[in-house]
Amino acid sequence: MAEKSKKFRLRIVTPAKTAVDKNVDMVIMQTVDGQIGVLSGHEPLTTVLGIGTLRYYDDEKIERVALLGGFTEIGQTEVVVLADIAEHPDEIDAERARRAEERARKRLKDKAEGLDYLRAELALRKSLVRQEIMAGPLTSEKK
Amino acid sequence: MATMRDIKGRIRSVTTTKKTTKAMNLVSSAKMARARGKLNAASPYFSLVRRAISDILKTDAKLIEHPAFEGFRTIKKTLVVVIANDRGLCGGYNANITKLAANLAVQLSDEGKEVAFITIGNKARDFMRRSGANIVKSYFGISESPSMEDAREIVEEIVEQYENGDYDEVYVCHTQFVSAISYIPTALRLLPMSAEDFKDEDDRKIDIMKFEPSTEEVLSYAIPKYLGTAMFECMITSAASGQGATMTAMDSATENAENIISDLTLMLNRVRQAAITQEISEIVGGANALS
Repeated sequence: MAEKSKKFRLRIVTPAKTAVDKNVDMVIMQTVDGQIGVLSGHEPLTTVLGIGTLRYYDDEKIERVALLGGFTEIGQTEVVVLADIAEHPDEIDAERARRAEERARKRLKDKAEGLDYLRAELALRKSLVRQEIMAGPLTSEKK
Repeated sequence: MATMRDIKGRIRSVTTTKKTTKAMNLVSSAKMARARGKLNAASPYFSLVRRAISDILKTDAKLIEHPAFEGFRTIKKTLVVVIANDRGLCGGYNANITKLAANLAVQLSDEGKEVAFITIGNKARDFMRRSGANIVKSYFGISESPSMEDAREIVEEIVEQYENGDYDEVYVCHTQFVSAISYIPTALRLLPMSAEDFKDEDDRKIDIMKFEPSTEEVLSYAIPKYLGTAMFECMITSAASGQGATMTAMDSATENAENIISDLTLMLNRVRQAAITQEISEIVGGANALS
């Protein structure tokens, strides 16, 4: 980003807390239909979010937040993300996420009687997102 | 006349009671602070979810063809959710909220509707059962410190029954938290939703709004989220005001205990004085008789 881009307000709000409220340059998030990047002046859009990593660019910094379901309202002046759960990397217990992944994989492999397939799949995806975010920025994210 | 021993015994017992009520007062004030903290942390989420729905409704009035909105069926069966405490010792709190629920039930059945209840909190169940209400389900152990997950679970079940046509209307009787000593028992109509409910938001202009994947899908995602949020809000404000009521009740109980102790101490002193006076007059009488 050579020229200075216009900033806009990003709010990530969950029932437990306001996770983020600051002015940023760009947001990239995971919707149910794929990734979406938002810059200032994006057309107003309301969309359902999937389980995935949200990245926002603030000057030269890239911050990452794990979003576990929710929806977003992109307005003219601000982007509001209403998430069920939003976690910063430093809030995530890596060990716990790893164990959750193991548990979910085992359940999916064993195909036990009365397995709630959707639920196990969801648990697996949540644990993967949590671990992905711990791993730090991917090379493709570098500006 | 009570003996000194009796009075001393009573003072001891009231002092113990006072210690208990004092401790309960402190515990519930801590719990209330926690519930208030949760409420404050969640209130931006509450208002933004409301605003999101309000924005969706503003973009296109035709959207209100979602079955969660009113006007799709005649209302014959009503479900009333009553939220109260698990325990007593909170003054008129439980009675106030269940009275509201009972009055609402009377009003609804006067309108020719069938009424069923879901209770949250032991005392809600006990009070409603006593008034002969038809309770279909009771939850307990979650009134004091409700979580979003609890609220979602309850709402999911209710929404399913609403969609199946088991109920045509859902009310939630809860209390709005005003301050530690004040709350307002309120009946909120959760379902069907009315576009009017979302009119009071600020007058933001939404010109065009795109929806992905589609308006229907966004709305059918956002509405259950809103309902879960609304239920959670009801539960958390009830938890805060329930603890507030306990705190106030225990505060006045402590004060009463203090009054009783001071009355009893006064009485004890009188009795002791009388005993001494009597002893002196006996000695004086005995001495006079001898001389």
